[in-house]
Amino acid sequence: MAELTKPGTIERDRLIAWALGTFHAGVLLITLILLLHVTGGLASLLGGLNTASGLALFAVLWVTTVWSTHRTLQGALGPALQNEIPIYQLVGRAVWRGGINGAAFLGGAGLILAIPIVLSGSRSAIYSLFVGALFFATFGLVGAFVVGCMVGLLFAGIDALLLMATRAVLNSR
Amino acid sequence: MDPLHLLVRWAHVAGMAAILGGALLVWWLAARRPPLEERVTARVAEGYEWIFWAAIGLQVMTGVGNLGAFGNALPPPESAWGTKLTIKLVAVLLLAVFSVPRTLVVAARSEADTTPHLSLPLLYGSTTVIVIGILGLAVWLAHG
Repeated sequence: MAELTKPGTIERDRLIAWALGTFHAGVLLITLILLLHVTGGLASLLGGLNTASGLALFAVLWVTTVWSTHRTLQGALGPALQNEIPIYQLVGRAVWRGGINGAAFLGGAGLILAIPIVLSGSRSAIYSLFVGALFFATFGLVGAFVVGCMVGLLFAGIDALLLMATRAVLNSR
Repeated sequence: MDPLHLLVRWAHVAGMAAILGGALLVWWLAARRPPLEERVTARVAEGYEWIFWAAIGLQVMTGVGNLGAFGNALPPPESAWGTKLTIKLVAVLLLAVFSVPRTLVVAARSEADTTPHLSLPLLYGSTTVIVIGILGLAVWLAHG
């Protein structure tokens, strides 16, 4: 654990969390866009999405994913990127943090989508928003947590493979 | 043109310039003979990795924003333009997957704060080649 207090290690872990968090958010969105494009569903989705809202939604996903990746990796990697904690514990963290990330993203997305409705001042729209918020706060959050857990597990597997590739490069000199 | 769409396009091009320019710079620093002071290359590479991932996030965000400008008029996947878009998206995914080990190698060296790894010229040379390929696809896509 003494390694964790070294400034170089703290800076290293920040860079790794920044890179992996951005990798997770970016790859998730590109994969979804790619799947929607090849199945012909992208045009209708884009037609119904406002550009500013789309940018804000990705910004929220990006921030929450980097934060959850940072929490997952805390103290997990030792010198030369060797595991400091057992792999099952790291995978468990990734699944849990993925779930938290899914719920946090849903909360942020709900706020972004609610702003134009509240600004519109329409009573019926605000009433619908209130009913929708109740649904989001219960079933929506549970669903987002479960989906987040699955995505966290998937990315834990991908990251483990990429970490193995990195160790192979580092040992090749 | 809508100012927001103009800003989105500008940010997309600026992000690509940062990714390509930075990769070329680190490749040159890592491969040059006689070599530069070792810590300088390692520091520049580390700085580049922070900027690279910021730019990748920006590229994804603004790339979807650019697609959003098409709305319902987005060409179908079977069209020539749709096929080019599919190829570009797959190429960006490959760049992201390839870049994680590169960043981790640089991060592992920054922790030790010693000499840059021997694989740096290969890693940054490969990054430059992939990014130039994506840039070519982007130009091809922009011209229909």
